[in-house]
Parts: sequence; structure tokens; C-alpha cells
Amino acid sequence: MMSLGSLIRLLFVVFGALALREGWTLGIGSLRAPGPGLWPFLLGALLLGLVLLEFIVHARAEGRPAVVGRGETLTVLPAVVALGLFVSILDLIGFVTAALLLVGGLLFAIHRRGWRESILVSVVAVLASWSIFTWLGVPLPRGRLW
Amino acid sequence: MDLQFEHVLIGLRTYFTLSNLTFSLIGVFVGTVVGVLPGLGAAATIALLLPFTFHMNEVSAIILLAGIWYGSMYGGSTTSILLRIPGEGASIMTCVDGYEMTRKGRAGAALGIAAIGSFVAGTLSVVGLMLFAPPLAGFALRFGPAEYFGLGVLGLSLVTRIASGSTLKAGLMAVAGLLLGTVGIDGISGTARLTFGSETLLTGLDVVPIAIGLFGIAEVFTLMQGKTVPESLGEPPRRFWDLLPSREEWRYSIPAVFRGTLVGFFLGAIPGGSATVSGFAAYAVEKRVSRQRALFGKGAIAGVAAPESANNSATGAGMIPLLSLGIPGNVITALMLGALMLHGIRPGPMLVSQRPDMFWGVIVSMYMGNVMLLILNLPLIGLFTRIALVPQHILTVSIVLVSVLGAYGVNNNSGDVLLAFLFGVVGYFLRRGGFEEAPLLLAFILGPIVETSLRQALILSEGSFQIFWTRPIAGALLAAAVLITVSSFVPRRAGGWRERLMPFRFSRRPAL
Repeated sequence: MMSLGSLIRLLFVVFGALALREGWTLGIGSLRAPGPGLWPFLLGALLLGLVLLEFIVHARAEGRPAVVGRGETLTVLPAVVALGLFVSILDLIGFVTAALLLVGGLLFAIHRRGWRESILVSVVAVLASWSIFTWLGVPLPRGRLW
Repeated sequence: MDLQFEHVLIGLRTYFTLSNLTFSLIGVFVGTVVGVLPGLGAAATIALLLPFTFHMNEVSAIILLAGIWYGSMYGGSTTSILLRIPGEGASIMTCVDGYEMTRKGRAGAALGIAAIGSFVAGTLSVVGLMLFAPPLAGFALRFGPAEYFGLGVLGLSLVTRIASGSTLKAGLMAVAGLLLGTVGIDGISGTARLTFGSETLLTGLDVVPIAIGLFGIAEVFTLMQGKTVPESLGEPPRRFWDLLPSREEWRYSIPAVFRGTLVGFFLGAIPGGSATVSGFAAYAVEKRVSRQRALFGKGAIAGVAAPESANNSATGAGMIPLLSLGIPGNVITALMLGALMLHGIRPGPMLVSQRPDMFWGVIVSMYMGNVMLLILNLPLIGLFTRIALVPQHILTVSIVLVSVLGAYGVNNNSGDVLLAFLFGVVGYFLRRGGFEEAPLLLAFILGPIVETSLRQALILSEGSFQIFWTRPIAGALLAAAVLITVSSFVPRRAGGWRERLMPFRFSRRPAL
């Protein structure tokens, strides 16, 4: 299984390679007339160089933390999924309903609060934030529900 | 530009309006609260509140954000002293002697000197800001693209050098931030870069969803993992007189306050300096020179006075590069620059002469804000201590809601909520891997300045790199950046100087 450090380094490699290719495609120009691709090209090369250095320096020294620890399986991953779901249904069902589900869900399922407290806190928090935004004149997304 | 009475009058006229006074009060109060809360730092709060400032005028926005910043420095000391929880990174060193004083029944004196030292240092640093920023801005009017390139590179090199974790990792984050700053239409050629065919990305990435994701949403995930239960609860003093140090404590504190102010001012003013580093450095200096040095670690009041004065002094000084050069020296001033950019304002050396209302208004607000903080903090210490004990589940759902609403509120676009969510998830795993988010955000803001000045300088010099060393200021700035970068790769002694100062470890890192 890939360690968290290796996964992050891999992400940097992909990002650096994309920047290098984009810079080259856009044209790096000349020193007298630097092209739009020069800066991304230089940064892509620098990123790849630094990743290589990081790999050499830390490959042996690192304690290799796992990508997902046990505590995260119980708390952070469900929260990530909950927020992801919230983002995907926000426009569809509207802010108020989506936020009530998100906050209530986080309190009940992840923080292990009682259902009465979860409902009460989520209703108060969502209504308070909705009122502030309405007062500020920011229209919140209204979907099919509310 | 000489300091004239009329400038102060402009500042007073700008500040003493109902809206600016209110925003100033809200700023210092919110700042104190977030300073007290261990999970939430000034950077996260400013990131979360950036979208709200879009609906204010730009002077009020900066007054509010600056208030949150220096207010958080005041608040951070309360929980450090009473609960041994640093509400802010800048108050870590205050835990050592502050908490020892609480155990010896001198919590009142520790809280008192923290507030008084913060007030003195905060006020003196604004005097420094007032005296140094206008001449620096005048001097910077002569700066060309080569000098701005040098300044930007120096800022980037310092940030990676003093990041608390690995320099290499900070460097990687900074380069990633620079690359994110290139997404969108290139300002010089009009070409779309790193947009991968997406029309949404043509306008570039906004600072708000990135900041909210990295500091707000990632913080929620981190909070869910950690525990913030205090190790033991110190009693806040009940009477005002309990807050006053004894005659002997004054004798040790006064020089510590002034030394801390100087150290904080110097470290806060240089790009890359921060209130956190200032707190550590002031404690280290005091531990060497104080007449009370034998008591350090066992409840020395000088060990509270010095770091608390330094972290406040660093905030006033940190405004110098932003207001005089338009270059953010740390992540908080980078966010303030982001707020100004939301209003279409690009600060630079011309700001002092073209927008005196903003420059002098902010200065007057910082004087008055420090007075408000002194008045707020001393009698309300008991209340702020109780705020620190707010249940974690309430804190996390509040941050989630404000993050979501904040990300949505800038452009009324749920695409920004998605972006904040993605940056939150990536930011959380980067944090866990030891990659700090501050260099990325600072580089994201500095990137366009550095790139544009590099390309303009090369066009001016007809492709010759000589422009960077034949112009003395640019050459000196770049030489300093190279020296700092090279010295980063000299292996540090095990543990590092900051860790060696600490006699104990915290269960989780304090907020930025």
C-alpha cells in the first residue's frame, strides 16, 4: 500500500509534468520576449526538481504514515463524504435543506450527539446563517425543496 | 512624504464614522475570541470572513481584518496562561511561564502583564508603522520590475526558510502555489494557461475558496481528529486589582516588554516574518539577557511579557510591507491583499499618497483598536476563558457552515463551494503529510507579482539577466534570497531551536 508521503509526491510529479507540458505547448519564447509558457515551464521544472530532492531526502527517513489511519476511517472520511454529497446536491435541493442534512448528519453520525440535540443545533445554526446572509443581501441557492 | 498633522486628521476623519468604529470593535472582539479558541486561528478566520468584506467598503474591510489579527494576539495569551492551551501559534511560548505562574497563584499578574505588554507593544509598533511606511513607500516609488522581482523572490525564500516544518516541503508548497497563480488568462499575452479547456478556469482561481478550503475546511477535518480538552483549568482572577503585577514583577517586566517589542517589530517587518517566530525569538532573547533568567520555565513574568509584546509588535510591523510596497510579508497580510483585490485595489507605493484615507484610517484604527482591546480584555477574561471550552462539535459545524457560505458568497456560485471542498480535502492530507498550507497561499498571491515583474524586467533589459544585479537594490534583494535559500539546505541541529525552548509538547498543533 502506498504511503501518504508517496501519494503526495506523486501528485506533485503529475502537477509538475502538466505544467512543464503546458508551458512548452504555449511557447516559452525568448529572453527578449518571454512567452506565456515560460513561467509555467520554469515552475514545472522546479517542482519536479524539488520532488526529486524530497524523494531522495525523505524516502528512507520517513515513518511512512498510512494514507488513511484508523481514526480517520471513523471520523474524517465520513465527513469528507458528507461534505462531498452536500456540494453535489446544493443546487438541486437548495441551501437550507442541504445544510440541515449536513449539519444534522455531522452531529448525529460523526460527533455521536443525540438526535434531539442534532436537530435543534442544526435548525438554529442553519436558520441563523440563512438570516445573516439574507440580511447581507446574498441570495443563497434555492433548489426544489428550500 | 513627511508626517504631517493633516494626515493624522485624515485618519481620524476616516476612522471616527459609525461604520468604521463598529467594524473595528467587531474585529477586535472576534479576534480575541478566535485567539482564545484553540482550533481556530487568525488566518482561518480572516479567510472565512473575506467574502463578507466584499459587501463593505475597502477601508472598513481592512480595519475589520487588521482588528481580527491583532485582537487574536491578545486572546491567545488568555488560554495559554490559564489552560496551557495556546489559542494561537504566536502564544506558544507564553504557555511555559504563564501557566507556571497560574500554578503559583499569579495568574492575574500574568494576564495583566500580557494585556499591558500587548497594548504597549501594539501601540509602539503602530508608531513604527506610521514613521517607517511612508518613507519606505516614497523610496519604493523608484522601484522598477527588477526590484519588485527581487522583493517577491525574497519574500518567497523567507517563507520557506522559517516554516516550522521541512524547508523542502515548504518549497514544494510554494512552487505549487505559484503554479496555481498562473491558472487563467495570462495578463501580458492574453493566452489561457493551465485551464485544460475549462471556461470556469479562464478567470483564474479565486483566493477565497482556496483560503477557505485550506484553512477552514481542512481545519474541520483536523479538529475531528484531535482533542482539545484542557490539561487543567486555572481560575481567572475575580478582582481587577488581581491583574496588576507586584512592584518586583514590574521591575522584571518593563525591560522585557520593550525588548520583546523591538524583536517583534524587526521580525514582523521583514517579508516572511511572523508573529509566531517573533514570540519564540523574543522568549529566546529574554532567556539570555533577563535578570530573571534563572526563573525561566518556572514562572518568570519576563517569560510572559516578552513573547506577548513581541507577537503584538509583529502585527503592526507586518503591515509595513503591505501598505508601503504592496507585498504581503506573511499569510495574513496576503489575505488582506486578497481582500483589497476583491475591491479592485492593488496596493503599492502609491497607496500612501493616493489613498491617504485608507493608510491613515487603518493606522488610527490600530491605535484605537489597541485601546479597545485593553478595555475589553481585562474585565472580560473570565468570559473569554469559558469561550475556550466551547464543545468541539459546535465549533466544527460552525466552521463548516461559515466555510460553505463564505465560499458561495463571493460570486454566488456553488462552483466555488466545490473548489473550497477540494482544497479542503487536499489541504487536510497535505497537512497530515507535513506540508504546511501557508507557503502555498502566500506564493499564490505573490506569484502574479513575481512573474509579471520578471517578464517586464526581461523585456526592459532586452533579454539580459544583468538587470537583476546591475541595479543595486534588486541585486541586494536577490543576493539575500539566494543566501537564505542556500542556508536552508544546511542541516539543522536535531530538534531545532524552537523545539529546544519548549519543556513539554502539545497534543496537537495550535492554530495559525
